[in-house]
Amino acid sequence: MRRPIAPLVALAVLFGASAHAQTNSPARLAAFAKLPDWSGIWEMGRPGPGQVFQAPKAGKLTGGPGRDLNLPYKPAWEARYDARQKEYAALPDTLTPPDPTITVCSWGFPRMELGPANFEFTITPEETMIVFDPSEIRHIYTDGRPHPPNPTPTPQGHSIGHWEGQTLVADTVGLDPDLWLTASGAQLSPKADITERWSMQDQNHISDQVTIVDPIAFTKPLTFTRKFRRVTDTKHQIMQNCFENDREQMKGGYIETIYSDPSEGSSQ
Amino acid sequence: MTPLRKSLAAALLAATLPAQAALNSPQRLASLAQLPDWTGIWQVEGSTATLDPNGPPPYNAAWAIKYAKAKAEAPRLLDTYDRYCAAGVPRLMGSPEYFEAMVTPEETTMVFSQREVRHIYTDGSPHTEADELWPMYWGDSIGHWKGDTLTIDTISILGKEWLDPTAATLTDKAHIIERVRMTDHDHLQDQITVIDPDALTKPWSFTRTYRRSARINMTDSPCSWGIGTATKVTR
Repeated sequence: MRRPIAPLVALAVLFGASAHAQTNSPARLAAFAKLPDWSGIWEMGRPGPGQVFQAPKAGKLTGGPGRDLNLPYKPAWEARYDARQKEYAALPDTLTPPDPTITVCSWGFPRMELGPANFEFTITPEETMIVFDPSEIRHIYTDGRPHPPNPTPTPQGHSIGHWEGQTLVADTVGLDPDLWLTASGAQLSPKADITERWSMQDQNHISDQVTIVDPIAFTKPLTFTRKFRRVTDTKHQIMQNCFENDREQMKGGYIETIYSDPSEGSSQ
Repeated sequence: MTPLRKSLAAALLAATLPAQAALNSPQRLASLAQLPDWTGIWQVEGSTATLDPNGPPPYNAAWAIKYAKAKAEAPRLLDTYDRYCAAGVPRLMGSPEYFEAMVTPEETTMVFSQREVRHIYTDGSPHTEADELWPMYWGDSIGHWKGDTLTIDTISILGKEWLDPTAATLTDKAHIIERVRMTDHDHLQDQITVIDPDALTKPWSFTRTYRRSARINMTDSPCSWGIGTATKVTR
């Protein structure tokens, strides 16, 4: 059932939409009238059966789903992943794997959606913007523009989308293959193409059905659903700066944490 | 209407109500109707050598001495902008970073080209409570609309962040008031006033303008990857 737009536009005119040339045009207001309101801050919901983010594995590679993702890797990629696990497991206690969340301050897409960051939605007719509190931003363009022919690889890739009713269907390419999909170091190829279907279940819950197609690394598409709940105890998103209070340095391709006090934290 | 049709209509209504409830409400649309459309990418005009093109802040005697010393040392030091990958507020408003502005009833968001975000909440909420505030790169901003002008009130900035390459700084207590409006289709104007009694002899006021840029794809790259990685839309 579609709401009639005309009365809304009339309302807009009544409230002064045409009084000033810079206010939102009736056409833009009509476009807004067809869009859902997801304004607010959201965070990861409680993981349920079949969801990706399960209990972290014990050991050095903490905080990540690792094999819980059940990535449908091709044999060569599986072997590369296994070799990486062995390499990281053999690291001394003073070193940790070169996780891009630390080395280049980038979780990137889709890993950011698998983690604990909160995010804010802004939906306009031209674009849906998702701002994550670790200062990573997704721009999902819904103005009809295509992907660039050779997008520069970036942490969030290049996203375009369209609305199917109140479901935002997004397509993302151009992801940086050097970033990690999981804390255990799983990666995607430069040819990864990710489709999402964002929808609201109720006023306090939103979900994202993610399908990763990667003809280079995967034998078949990987589909999973993430669920998020509304943050109700604050309205203001406080942004973090990963480059502040930097206590890590690179050593031989791995991360070494710098302790200001030698007795602090280090087991050596 | 027959009873069957009536019950069908009722069932249809019940099935669609939750979905309808998620659409922008008439109240939100009425608010949007009063707001300007700043959609686009904006970039500062004029010199970016100093935040105020007219010169340094009106420092008091003690801070003038402090600034002279910092300015002399600045060429040998790493600019905080580079060190922390953040220009912060207010420096962002005079920086060469381009930004995308999104205006909604609850908030105006400015997203800059190197992952810096200004959240300006216009939902009537007050500043974050003092015991939950600490000095932050982008401060804590609230705003309100009067006609086509957004008045922004920012507190809790990180005073030690350089305002420009000459190492001008403020205190954490600086209070920044901005009046932003579109002067024509291709220009935004920001009248900035910095009140910082511990460092300045008087309110420091200046104006920056921003020109509408090409409709580019914003990319989410940290500054360590280099400035200007946006790619042109091909069509």
